[in-house]
Amino acid sequence: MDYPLLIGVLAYELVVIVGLGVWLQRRHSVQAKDEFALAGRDLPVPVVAVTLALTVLGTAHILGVFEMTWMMGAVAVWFSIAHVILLTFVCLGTGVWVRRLGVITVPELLNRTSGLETRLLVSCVMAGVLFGVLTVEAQGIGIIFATLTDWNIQTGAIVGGVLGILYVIFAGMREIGWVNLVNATVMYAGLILATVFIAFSLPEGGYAAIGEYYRSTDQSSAISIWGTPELMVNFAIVNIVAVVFSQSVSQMLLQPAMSAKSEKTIKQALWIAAPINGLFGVFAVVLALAARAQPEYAALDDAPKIGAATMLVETLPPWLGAILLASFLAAILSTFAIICLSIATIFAKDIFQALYVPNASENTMKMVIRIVIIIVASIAIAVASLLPPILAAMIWLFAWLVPVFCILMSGILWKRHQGVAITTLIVAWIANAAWSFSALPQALGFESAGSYNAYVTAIVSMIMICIGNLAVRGRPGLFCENGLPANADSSRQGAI
Amino acid sequence: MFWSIFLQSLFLILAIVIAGRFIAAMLSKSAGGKNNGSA
Repeated sequence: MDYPLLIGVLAYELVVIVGLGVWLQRRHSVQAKDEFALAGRDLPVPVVAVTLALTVLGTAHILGVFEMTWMMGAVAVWFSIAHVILLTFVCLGTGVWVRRLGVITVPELLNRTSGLETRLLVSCVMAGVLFGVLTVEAQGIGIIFATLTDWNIQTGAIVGGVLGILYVIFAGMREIGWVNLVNATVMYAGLILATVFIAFSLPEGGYAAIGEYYRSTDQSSAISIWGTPELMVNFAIVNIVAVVFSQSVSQMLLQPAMSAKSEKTIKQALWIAAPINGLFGVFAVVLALAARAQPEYAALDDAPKIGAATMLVETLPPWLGAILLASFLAAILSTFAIICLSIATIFAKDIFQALYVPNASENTMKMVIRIVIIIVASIAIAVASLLPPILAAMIWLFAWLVPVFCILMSGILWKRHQGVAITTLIVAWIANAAWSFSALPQALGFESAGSYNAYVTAIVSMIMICIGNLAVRGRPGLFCENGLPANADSSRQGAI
Repeated sequence: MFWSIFLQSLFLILAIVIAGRFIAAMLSKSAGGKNNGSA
Protein backbone atom coordinates (compact mmCIF):
# COMPACT_ATOMS: atom_id res chain seq x y z
CA MET A 1 0.00 0.00 0.00
CA ASP A 2 1.23 3.43 -0.94
CA TYR A 3 1.33 5.41 2.30
CA PRO A 4 0.74 8.84 0.75
CA LEU A 5 -2.51 7.40 -0.69
CA LEU A 6 -3.48 5.85 2.67
CA ILE A 7 -2.95 9.25 4.25
CA GLY A 8 -5.09 10.67 1.45
CA VAL A 9 -7.91 8.23 2.30
CA LEU A 10 -7.75 9.07 5.98
CA ALA A 11 -7.60 12.79 5.16
CA TYR A 12 -10.67 12.40 2.92
CA GLU A 13 -12.61 10.63 5.69
CA LEU A 14 -11.57 13.26 8.24
CA VAL A 15 -12.43 16.21 6.00
CA VAL A 16 -15.85 14.81 5.06
CA ILE A 17 -16.76 13.59 8.53
CA VAL A 18 -15.41 16.48 10.60
CA GLY A 19 -16.16 19.15 8.00
CA LEU A 20 -19.77 18.12 7.49
CA GLY A 21 -20.22 17.38 11.21
CA VAL A 22 -19.04 20.79 12.39
CA TRP A 23 -20.96 22.58 9.61
CA LEU A 24 -24.20 20.77 10.46
CA GLN A 25 -23.67 21.37 14.18
CA ARG A 26 -23.39 25.14 13.59
CA ARG A 27 -26.21 25.27 11.07
CA HIS A 28 -28.62 23.55 13.44
CA SER A 29 -27.49 25.21 16.65
CA VAL A 30 -31.08 26.11 17.53
CA GLN A 31 -32.13 22.99 19.37
CA ALA A 32 -35.17 21.38 17.79
CA LYS A 33 -36.84 18.58 19.73
CA ASP A 34 -34.85 15.34 19.44
CA GLU A 35 -32.30 17.14 17.25
CA PHE A 36 -29.32 14.96 18.15
CA ALA A 37 -30.99 11.53 18.21
CA LEU A 38 -33.49 12.04 15.38
CA ALA A 39 -32.23 15.10 13.45
CA GLY A 40 -35.36 17.02 14.50
CA ARG A 41 -37.35 14.51 12.41
CA ASP A 42 -36.80 16.39 9.17
CA LEU A 43 -34.40 14.29 7.08
CA PRO A 44 -35.23 14.31 3.33
CA VAL A 45 -35.69 11.30 1.03
CA PRO A 46 -32.10 10.87 -0.27
CA VAL A 47 -30.57 11.06 3.20
CA VAL A 48 -33.08 8.64 4.74
CA ALA A 49 -32.67 6.24 1.81
CA VAL A 50 -28.88 6.15 1.87
CA THR A 51 -28.80 5.88 5.67
CA LEU A 52 -31.24 2.95 5.67
CA ALA A 53 -29.21 1.22 2.94
CA LEU A 54 -25.82 1.73 4.62
CA THR A 55 -27.07 0.89 8.13
CA VAL A 56 -27.51 -2.74 7.11
CA LEU A 57 -24.50 -2.81 4.80
CA GLY A 58 -21.52 -3.51 7.02
CA THR A 59 -18.91 -6.12 7.83
CA ALA A 60 -21.09 -9.13 6.99
CA HIS A 61 -21.78 -7.75 3.50
CA ILE A 62 -18.22 -6.85 2.66
CA LEU A 63 -16.29 -9.72 4.21
CA GLY A 64 -19.07 -12.31 4.15
CA VAL A 65 -20.31 -12.09 0.53
CA PHE A 66 -16.81 -12.71 -0.92
CA GLU A 67 -16.52 -15.86 1.19
CA MET A 68 -20.08 -17.07 0.56
CA THR A 69 -19.65 -16.60 -3.22
CA TRP A 70 -16.45 -18.64 -3.13
CA MET A 71 -18.25 -21.50 -1.39
CA MET A 72 -21.66 -21.40 -3.14
CA GLY A 73 -21.45 -19.21 -6.24
CA ALA A 74 -23.71 -16.38 -7.36
CA VAL A 75 -26.57 -17.57 -5.13
CA ALA A 76 -24.70 -15.60 -2.40
CA VAL A 77 -26.39 -12.51 -3.86
CA TRP A 78 -29.45 -13.64 -1.88
CA PHE A 79 -27.74 -12.32 1.23
CA SER A 80 -28.24 -8.87 -0.31
CA ILE A 81 -31.70 -9.73 -1.66
CA ALA A 82 -32.73 -10.69 1.90
CA HIS A 83 -31.74 -7.18 2.97
CA VAL A 84 -33.82 -5.71 0.12
CA ILE A 85 -36.84 -7.61 1.49
CA LEU A 86 -35.95 -6.30 4.96
CA LEU A 87 -35.78 -2.71 3.68
CA THR A 88 -39.13 -3.17 1.92
CA PHE A 89 -40.70 -4.43 5.17
CA VAL A 90 -39.23 -1.50 7.12
CA CYS A 91 -40.04 1.26 4.60
CA LEU A 92 -43.63 0.09 4.13
CA GLY A 93 -44.30 -1.43 7.57
CA THR A 94 -42.41 -1.09 10.82
CA GLY A 95 -40.55 2.11 9.82
CA VAL A 96 -43.80 3.84 8.90
CA TRP A 97 -45.47 2.65 12.11
CA VAL A 98 -42.73 3.98 14.43
CA ARG A 99 -42.72 7.30 12.54
CA ARG A 100 -46.51 7.51 12.83
CA LEU A 101 -46.58 6.69 16.54
CA GLY A 102 -43.85 9.25 17.20
CA VAL A 103 -41.70 7.01 19.38
CA ILE A 104 -37.96 7.58 19.79
CA THR A 105 -36.89 4.02 20.60
CA VAL A 106 -38.26 0.54 19.86
CA PRO A 107 -38.47 -0.27 23.61
CA GLU A 108 -40.68 2.83 23.97
CA LEU A 109 -43.10 1.25 21.50
CA LEU A 110 -43.03 -1.95 23.58
CA ASN A 111 -44.03 0.16 26.58
CA ARG A 112 -47.30 0.86 24.77
CA THR A 113 -47.94 -2.73 23.78
CA SER A 114 -46.55 -4.70 26.71
CA GLY A 115 -45.78 -2.41 29.66
CA LEU A 116 -42.80 -0.73 31.33
CA GLU A 117 -41.10 -3.94 32.55
CA THR A 118 -41.06 -5.34 29.01
CA ARG A 119 -39.62 -2.05 27.80
CA LEU A 120 -36.78 -2.21 30.31
CA LEU A 121 -36.08 -5.87 29.59
CA VAL A 122 -35.91 -5.30 25.85
CA SER A 123 -33.91 -2.08 26.12
CA CYS A 124 -31.20 -3.89 28.12
CA VAL A 125 -31.07 -6.86 25.75
CA MET A 126 -31.33 -4.79 22.56
CA ALA A 127 -28.50 -2.51 23.71
CA GLY A 128 -26.46 -5.64 24.51
CA VAL A 129 -27.15 -7.20 21.11
CA LEU A 130 -26.27 -3.97 19.32
CA PHE A 131 -23.07 -3.77 21.36
CA GLY A 132 -22.16 -7.30 20.22
CA VAL A 133 -22.72 -6.27 16.58
CA LEU A 134 -20.62 -3.15 17.22
CA THR A 135 -17.62 -5.28 18.26
CA VAL A 136 -17.95 -7.25 15.02
CA GLU A 137 -18.09 -4.03 12.97
CA ALA A 138 -15.00 -2.72 14.80
CA GLN A 139 -13.22 -5.96 13.90
CA GLY A 140 -14.37 -5.57 10.27
CA ILE A 141 -12.81 -2.10 10.10
CA GLY A 142 -9.58 -3.58 11.46
CA ILE A 143 -9.60 -6.39 8.89
CA ILE A 144 -10.17 -3.98 5.99
CA PHE A 145 -7.17 -1.92 7.09
CA ALA A 146 -5.07 -5.07 7.63
CA THR A 147 -5.94 -6.43 4.16
CA LEU A 148 -5.06 -3.27 2.28
CA THR A 149 -2.14 -2.01 4.42
CA ASP A 150 0.50 -3.68 6.56
CA TRP A 151 -1.20 -2.60 9.81
CA ASN A 152 -2.43 -5.24 12.24
CA ILE A 153 -6.16 -5.65 12.90
CA GLN A 154 -5.99 -4.00 16.33
CA THR A 155 -4.36 -0.81 14.98
CA GLY A 156 -6.90 -0.67 12.17
CA ALA A 157 -9.77 -1.09 14.65
CA ILE A 158 -8.49 1.79 16.80
CA VAL A 159 -8.05 4.18 13.86
CA GLY A 160 -11.42 3.16 12.42
CA GLY A 161 -13.11 3.41 15.82
CA VAL A 162 -11.95 7.00 16.20
CA LEU A 163 -13.33 7.80 12.72
CA GLY A 164 -16.57 6.04 13.72
CA ILE A 165 -16.95 8.22 16.83
CA LEU A 166 -16.26 11.37 14.79
CA TYR A 167 -18.94 10.16 12.30
CA VAL A 168 -21.67 10.79 14.90
CA ILE A 169 -20.34 12.90 17.77
CA PHE A 170 -20.80 16.39 16.27
CA ALA A 171 -24.37 16.43 15.03
CA GLY A 172 -25.79 12.94 15.76
CA MET A 173 -28.26 11.48 13.27
CA ARG A 174 -28.10 14.52 10.97
CA GLU A 175 -24.32 14.08 10.65
CA ILE A 176 -24.62 10.34 9.98
CA GLY A 177 -27.24 10.98 7.29
CA TRP A 178 -25.38 13.64 5.30
CA VAL A 179 -21.95 12.00 5.62
CA ASN A 180 -23.59 8.78 4.39
CA LEU A 181 -24.87 10.60 1.31
CA VAL A 182 -21.33 11.68 0.36
CA ASN A 183 -19.79 8.32 1.24
CA ALA A 184 -22.37 6.30 -0.70
CA THR A 185 -21.36 8.22 -3.83
CA VAL A 186 -17.68 7.41 -3.23
CA MET A 187 -18.56 3.80 -2.44
CA TYR A 188 -20.34 3.22 -5.75
CA ALA A 189 -17.67 5.10 -7.70
CA GLY A 190 -15.04 2.81 -6.15
CA LEU A 191 -17.03 -0.36 -6.78
CA ILE A 192 -17.88 0.45 -10.39
CA LEU A 193 -14.32 1.54 -11.22
CA ALA A 194 -12.88 -1.60 -9.57
CA THR A 195 -15.29 -3.87 -11.46
CA VAL A 196 -14.44 -2.21 -14.78
CA PHE A 197 -10.72 -2.30 -14.08
CA ILE A 198 -10.81 -5.99 -13.16
CA ALA A 199 -12.75 -6.68 -16.39
CA PHE A 200 -9.92 -5.15 -18.43
CA SER A 201 -7.26 -7.05 -16.48
CA LEU A 202 -8.95 -10.42 -17.01
CA PRO A 203 -7.85 -12.78 -19.80
CA GLU A 204 -9.34 -12.25 -23.28
CA GLY A 205 -13.09 -11.83 -23.06
CA GLY A 206 -13.35 -10.26 -19.59
CA TYR A 207 -16.30 -11.43 -17.50
CA ALA A 208 -17.70 -13.37 -20.48
CA ALA A 209 -14.59 -15.58 -20.37
CA ILE A 210 -15.11 -16.11 -16.64
CA GLY A 211 -18.68 -17.23 -17.34
CA GLU A 212 -17.41 -19.57 -20.07
CA TYR A 213 -14.89 -21.07 -17.62
CA TYR A 214 -17.67 -22.00 -15.16
CA ARG A 215 -19.87 -23.46 -17.92
CA SER A 216 -17.03 -25.49 -19.40
CA THR A 217 -16.09 -26.94 -16.00
CA ASP A 218 -19.65 -28.06 -15.34
CA GLN A 219 -20.26 -25.36 -12.72
CA SER A 220 -23.06 -23.45 -14.46
CA SER A 221 -25.00 -23.14 -11.20
CA ALA A 222 -22.12 -21.06 -9.75
CA ILE A 223 -22.92 -18.19 -12.12
CA SER A 224 -26.70 -18.32 -11.64
CA ILE A 225 -28.28 -16.29 -8.85
CA TRP A 226 -30.79 -19.14 -8.51
CA GLY A 227 -27.99 -21.64 -7.70
CA THR A 228 -29.50 -25.07 -7.04
CA PRO A 229 -32.85 -25.91 -5.34
CA GLU A 230 -30.92 -27.09 -2.24
CA LEU A 231 -29.03 -23.81 -1.98
CA MET A 232 -32.24 -21.81 -2.41
CA VAL A 233 -33.80 -23.65 0.54
CA ASN A 234 -30.73 -23.92 2.77
CA PHE A 235 -29.22 -20.53 2.06
CA ALA A 236 -31.58 -18.04 0.42
CA ILE A 237 -34.70 -18.72 2.48
CA VAL A 238 -32.73 -19.14 5.72
CA ASN A 239 -31.22 -15.70 5.14
CA ILE A 240 -34.56 -14.08 4.38
CA VAL A 241 -36.15 -15.46 7.57
CA ALA A 242 -33.17 -14.60 9.78
CA VAL A 243 -32.68 -11.09 8.41
CA VAL A 244 -36.32 -9.99 8.23
CA PHE A 245 -37.38 -11.45 11.59
CA SER A 246 -34.42 -10.16 13.54
CA GLN A 247 -33.68 -6.76 12.01
CA SER A 248 -37.03 -5.26 11.15
CA VAL A 249 -37.55 -4.12 14.75
CA SER A 250 -33.93 -3.26 15.50
CA GLN A 251 -33.30 0.24 16.82
CA MET A 252 -30.36 0.75 14.44
CA LEU A 253 -32.58 0.34 11.36
CA LEU A 254 -35.68 2.09 12.69
CA GLN A 255 -33.86 5.19 14.00
CA PRO A 256 -33.31 6.60 10.46
CA ALA A 257 -37.02 5.94 9.74
CA MET A 258 -38.01 7.79 12.93
CA SER A 259 -35.84 10.71 11.71
CA ALA A 260 -37.63 11.05 8.36
CA LYS A 261 -39.55 14.19 7.52
CA SER A 262 -42.77 12.27 6.98
CA GLU A 263 -44.18 8.80 6.35
CA LYS A 264 -44.15 9.56 2.63
CA THR A 265 -40.40 10.22 2.88
CA ILE A 266 -39.82 6.68 4.20
CA LYS A 267 -41.98 5.09 1.50
CA GLN A 268 -40.23 7.02 -1.28
CA ALA A 269 -36.81 6.24 0.23
CA LEU A 270 -37.36 2.56 -0.56
CA TRP A 271 -36.86 3.21 -4.31
CA ILE A 272 -33.30 4.38 -3.58
CA ALA A 273 -32.40 2.27 -0.52
CA ALA A 274 -33.28 -1.11 -2.08
CA PRO A 275 -31.01 -0.86 -5.16
CA ILE A 276 -28.15 0.78 -3.24
CA ASN A 277 -28.07 -2.08 -0.75
CA GLY A 278 -28.99 -4.90 -3.12
CA LEU A 279 -26.61 -4.08 -5.98
CA PHE A 280 -23.63 -3.89 -3.63
CA GLY A 281 -23.93 -7.65 -3.33
CA VAL A 282 -23.91 -8.00 -7.13
CA PHE A 283 -20.55 -6.27 -7.46
CA ALA A 284 -19.08 -8.30 -4.58
CA VAL A 285 -20.35 -11.58 -6.12
CA VAL A 286 -18.94 -10.79 -9.57
CA LEU A 287 -15.53 -9.84 -8.18
CA ALA A 288 -15.38 -13.02 -6.07
CA LEU A 289 -16.38 -15.21 -9.06
CA ALA A 290 -13.63 -13.59 -11.15
CA ALA A 291 -11.04 -14.34 -8.44
CA ARG A 292 -12.21 -17.92 -7.98
CA ALA A 293 -11.83 -18.67 -11.71
CA GLN A 294 -8.13 -17.72 -11.68
CA PRO A 295 -5.80 -20.54 -10.56
CA GLU A 296 -3.31 -18.26 -8.78
CA TYR A 297 -6.02 -17.04 -6.38
CA ALA A 298 -7.94 -20.34 -6.17
CA ALA A 299 -4.77 -22.07 -4.98
CA LEU A 300 -4.19 -19.71 -2.05
CA ASP A 301 -4.36 -21.07 1.48
CA ASP A 302 -7.72 -20.10 2.95
CA ALA A 303 -8.75 -18.87 -0.53
CA PRO A 304 -12.48 -18.32 0.30
CA LYS A 305 -11.54 -15.71 2.90
CA ILE A 306 -8.69 -13.89 1.17
CA GLY A 307 -8.89 -14.85 -2.52
CA ALA A 308 -11.03 -11.96 -3.75
CA ALA A 309 -9.32 -9.36 -1.55
CA THR A 310 -5.89 -10.58 -2.73
CA MET A 311 -6.96 -10.27 -6.38
CA LEU A 312 -8.11 -6.68 -5.75
CA VAL A 313 -4.92 -5.70 -3.95
CA GLU A 314 -2.65 -7.26 -6.58
CA THR A 315 -4.57 -6.16 -9.66
CA LEU A 316 -5.82 -2.66 -8.93
CA PRO A 317 -3.50 0.33 -9.19
CA PRO A 318 -2.77 1.97 -5.79
CA TRP A 319 -5.05 4.95 -6.43
CA LEU A 320 -8.02 2.65 -7.15
CA GLY A 321 -7.12 0.46 -4.17
CA ALA A 322 -7.30 3.63 -2.09
CA ILE A 323 -10.77 4.51 -3.43
CA LEU A 324 -11.92 0.95 -2.69
CA LEU A 325 -10.49 1.21 0.84
CA ALA A 326 -12.37 4.49 1.29
CA SER A 327 -15.60 2.90 -0.01
CA PHE A 328 -15.39 -0.20 2.21
CA LEU A 329 -14.47 1.98 5.18
CA ALA A 330 -17.41 4.27 4.48
CA ALA A 331 -19.83 1.33 4.47
CA ILE A 332 -18.61 -0.12 7.76
CA LEU A 333 -18.12 3.24 9.47
CA SER A 334 -21.72 4.22 8.76
CA THR A 335 -22.93 1.01 10.43
CA PHE A 336 -20.52 1.50 13.35
CA ALA A 337 -21.70 5.10 13.87
CA ILE A 338 -25.43 4.39 13.82
CA ILE A 339 -25.07 1.43 16.18
CA CYS A 340 -23.23 3.70 18.66
CA LEU A 341 -26.03 6.25 18.33
CA SER A 342 -28.75 3.58 18.73
CA ILE A 343 -27.24 2.17 21.92
CA ALA A 344 -26.77 5.65 23.35
CA THR A 345 -30.35 6.64 22.43
CA ILE A 346 -31.77 3.53 24.11
CA PHE A 347 -29.74 4.24 27.26
CA ALA A 348 -30.64 7.93 27.33
CA LYS A 349 -34.37 7.54 26.62
CA ASP A 350 -35.31 4.15 28.06
CA ILE A 351 -33.13 4.10 31.15
CA PHE A 352 -31.73 7.55 32.02
CA GLN A 353 -34.86 9.55 31.21
CA ALA A 354 -37.53 6.91 31.80
CA LEU A 355 -36.25 5.88 35.25
CA TYR A 356 -34.15 8.68 36.68
CA VAL A 357 -34.52 12.13 35.09
CA PRO A 358 -37.94 12.41 33.41
CA ASN A 359 -37.57 16.16 32.85
CA ALA A 360 -34.07 16.08 31.40
CA SER A 361 -33.44 18.99 29.03
CA GLU A 362 -32.48 18.59 25.39
CA ASN A 363 -28.89 19.61 26.22
CA THR A 364 -28.64 17.08 29.06
CA MET A 365 -29.92 14.30 26.77
CA LYS A 366 -27.45 15.29 24.08
CA MET A 367 -24.59 15.20 26.60
CA VAL A 368 -25.66 11.76 27.90
CA ILE A 369 -25.89 10.38 24.35
CA ARG A 370 -22.43 11.74 23.46
CA ILE A 371 -20.84 10.27 26.60
CA VAL A 372 -22.42 6.84 26.01
CA ILE A 373 -21.28 6.89 22.33
CA ILE A 374 -17.66 7.41 23.39
CA ILE A 375 -17.84 4.76 26.15
CA VAL A 376 -19.46 2.00 24.06
CA ALA A 377 -17.26 2.67 21.02
CA SER A 378 -14.12 2.50 23.17
CA ILE A 379 -15.14 -0.78 24.83
CA ALA A 380 -16.16 -2.25 21.44
CA ILE A 381 -12.74 -1.45 19.97
CA ALA A 382 -11.08 -3.18 22.96
CA VAL A 383 -13.32 -6.27 22.62
CA ALA A 384 -12.76 -6.36 18.83
CA SER A 385 -9.05 -6.93 19.41
CA LEU A 386 -10.00 -10.37 20.81
CA LEU A 387 -11.31 -11.21 17.30
CA PRO A 388 -14.66 -12.94 17.98
CA PRO A 389 -15.81 -15.12 15.00
CA ILE A 390 -17.83 -12.80 12.74
CA LEU A 391 -20.60 -14.88 11.16
CA ALA A 392 -21.24 -17.07 14.22
CA ALA A 393 -21.46 -13.95 16.37
CA MET A 394 -23.94 -12.29 13.98
CA ILE A 395 -26.19 -15.37 13.83
CA TRP A 396 -26.33 -15.74 17.62
CA LEU A 397 -26.74 -12.02 18.29
CA PHE A 398 -29.56 -11.36 15.83
CA ALA A 399 -31.53 -14.36 17.08
CA TRP A 400 -32.02 -12.43 20.34
CA LEU A 401 -34.17 -9.89 18.48
CA VAL A 402 -36.53 -12.43 16.89
CA PRO A 403 -38.82 -12.75 19.99
CA VAL A 404 -38.89 -8.93 20.20
CA PHE A 405 -40.24 -8.87 16.63
CA CYS A 406 -42.84 -11.51 17.51
CA ILE A 407 -44.19 -9.81 20.65
CA LEU A 408 -44.23 -6.45 18.89
CA MET A 409 -46.26 -7.83 15.97
CA SER A 410 -48.58 -9.57 18.43
CA GLY A 411 -48.96 -6.41 20.53
CA ILE A 412 -49.68 -4.27 17.49
CA LEU A 413 -51.89 -6.58 15.45
CA TRP A 414 -53.39 -9.14 17.87
CA LYS A 415 -53.40 -8.85 21.66
CA ARG A 416 -51.46 -7.04 24.41
CA HIS A 417 -50.54 -8.79 27.64
CA GLN A 418 -47.40 -8.05 29.64
CA GLY A 419 -47.12 -11.52 31.22
CA VAL A 420 -47.27 -13.26 27.84
CA ALA A 421 -44.71 -10.85 26.38
CA ILE A 422 -42.17 -11.25 29.19
CA THR A 423 -42.58 -15.05 29.36
CA THR A 424 -42.12 -15.29 25.58
CA LEU A 425 -38.96 -13.20 25.67
CA ILE A 426 -37.36 -15.15 28.50
CA VAL A 427 -38.23 -18.62 27.14
CA ALA A 428 -37.02 -17.72 23.62
CA TRP A 429 -33.76 -16.23 24.90
CA ILE A 430 -33.11 -19.33 27.05
CA ALA A 431 -33.80 -21.51 23.98
CA ASN A 432 -31.31 -19.45 21.92
CA ALA A 433 -28.58 -19.86 24.54
CA ALA A 434 -29.37 -23.57 25.00
CA TRP A 435 -29.24 -24.13 21.22
CA SER A 436 -25.75 -22.60 20.97
CA PHE A 437 -24.15 -23.72 24.24
CA SER A 438 -25.67 -27.12 25.09
CA ALA A 439 -26.16 -30.50 23.41
CA LEU A 440 -29.78 -29.61 22.53
CA PRO A 441 -29.22 -29.66 18.72
CA GLN A 442 -27.65 -33.13 18.89
CA ALA A 443 -30.45 -34.36 21.17
CA LEU A 444 -32.94 -33.26 18.50
CA GLY A 445 -31.02 -35.04 15.74
CA PHE A 446 -29.02 -32.12 14.26
CA GLU A 447 -25.31 -32.46 13.60
CA SER A 448 -24.51 -29.07 15.13
CA ALA A 449 -26.18 -25.78 16.09
CA GLY A 450 -25.50 -24.50 12.56
CA SER A 451 -27.19 -21.23 11.65
CA TYR A 452 -30.64 -22.20 12.86
CA ASN A 453 -30.83 -19.88 15.92
CA ALA A 454 -33.30 -17.54 14.24
CA TYR A 455 -35.59 -20.48 13.41
CA VAL A 456 -35.39 -21.76 17.00
CA THR A 457 -36.27 -18.41 18.58
CA ALA A 458 -38.97 -17.75 15.97
CA ILE A 459 -40.70 -21.11 16.53
CA VAL A 460 -40.47 -20.88 20.33
CA SER A 461 -41.76 -17.28 20.30
CA MET A 462 -44.72 -18.06 18.04
CA ILE A 463 -45.75 -21.08 20.09
CA MET A 464 -45.49 -19.12 23.35
CA ILE A 465 -47.45 -16.17 21.96
CA CYS A 466 -50.20 -18.35 20.47
CA ILE A 467 -50.67 -20.38 23.67
CA GLY A 468 -50.40 -17.28 25.89
CA ASN A 469 -52.75 -15.08 23.88
CA LEU A 470 -55.36 -17.83 23.64
CA ALA A 471 -55.12 -18.58 27.38
CA VAL A 472 -55.29 -15.04 28.82
CA ARG A 473 -57.58 -12.06 28.47
CA GLY A 474 -55.44 -9.20 27.25
CA ARG A 475 -56.20 -5.84 25.66
CA PRO A 476 -56.70 -5.78 21.87
CA GLY A 477 -53.61 -5.02 19.73
CA LEU A 478 -52.53 -1.41 19.44
CA PHE A 479 -53.85 -1.10 15.89
CA CYS A 480 -56.88 -3.35 16.55
CA GLU A 481 -58.30 -1.18 19.31
CA ASN A 482 -58.89 1.95 17.24
CA GLY A 483 -57.56 0.90 13.86
CA LEU A 484 -54.41 2.48 12.47
CA PRO A 485 -53.63 5.70 14.34
CA ALA A 486 -53.93 8.93 12.39
CA ASN A 487 -50.94 10.18 10.47
CA ALA A 488 -48.81 12.07 13.00
CA ASP A 489 -46.10 13.44 10.77
CA SER A 490 -45.75 16.76 12.47
CA SER A 491 -46.39 15.91 16.07
CA ARG A 492 -45.14 13.31 18.46
CA GLN A 493 -48.00 11.44 20.05
CA GLY A 494 -47.73 10.31 23.62
CA ALA A 495 -44.68 10.46 25.82
CA ILE A 496 -42.49 8.16 27.81
CA MET B 1 -21.76 -13.09 -16.88
CA PHE B 2 -21.68 -9.65 -15.25
CA TRP B 3 -24.70 -8.29 -17.09
CA SER B 4 -26.66 -11.49 -16.54
CA ILE B 5 -26.18 -11.39 -12.76
CA PHE B 6 -26.60 -7.59 -12.63
CA LEU B 7 -29.83 -7.46 -14.63
CA GLN B 8 -31.42 -10.49 -12.95
CA SER B 9 -30.67 -9.00 -9.52
CA LEU B 10 -31.90 -5.55 -10.53
CA PHE B 11 -35.20 -6.93 -11.83
CA LEU B 12 -35.55 -9.05 -8.70
CA ILE B 13 -35.01 -5.99 -6.49
CA LEU B 14 -37.55 -3.97 -8.46
CA ALA B 15 -40.04 -6.85 -8.32
CA ILE B 16 -39.67 -7.08 -4.53
CA VAL B 17 -40.20 -3.33 -4.11
CA ILE B 18 -43.22 -3.23 -6.41
CA ALA B 19 -44.75 -6.33 -4.80
CA GLY B 20 -44.15 -4.81 -1.35
CA ARG B 21 -45.87 -1.56 -2.31
CA PHE B 22 -48.78 -3.49 -3.84
CA ILE B 23 -49.26 -5.61 -0.71
CA ALA B 24 -48.92 -2.55 1.57
CA ALA B 25 -51.51 -0.68 -0.51
CA MET B 26 -53.92 -3.62 -0.35
CA LEU B 27 -53.52 -3.97 3.42
CA SER B 28 -53.88 -0.25 3.93
CA LYS B 29 -57.05 -0.18 1.85
CA SER B 30 -58.44 -3.14 3.76
CA ALA B 31 -57.58 -1.58 7.16
CA GLY B 32 -59.05 1.76 6.05
CA GLY B 33 -62.27 0.09 5.00
CA LYS B 34 -62.49 -1.72 8.32
CA ASN B 35 -61.90 1.50 10.26
CA ASN B 36 -64.53 3.39 8.30
CA GLY B 37 -66.94 0.56 8.86
CA SER B 38 -66.40 0.43 12.60
CA ALA B 39 -66.56 4.22 12.89
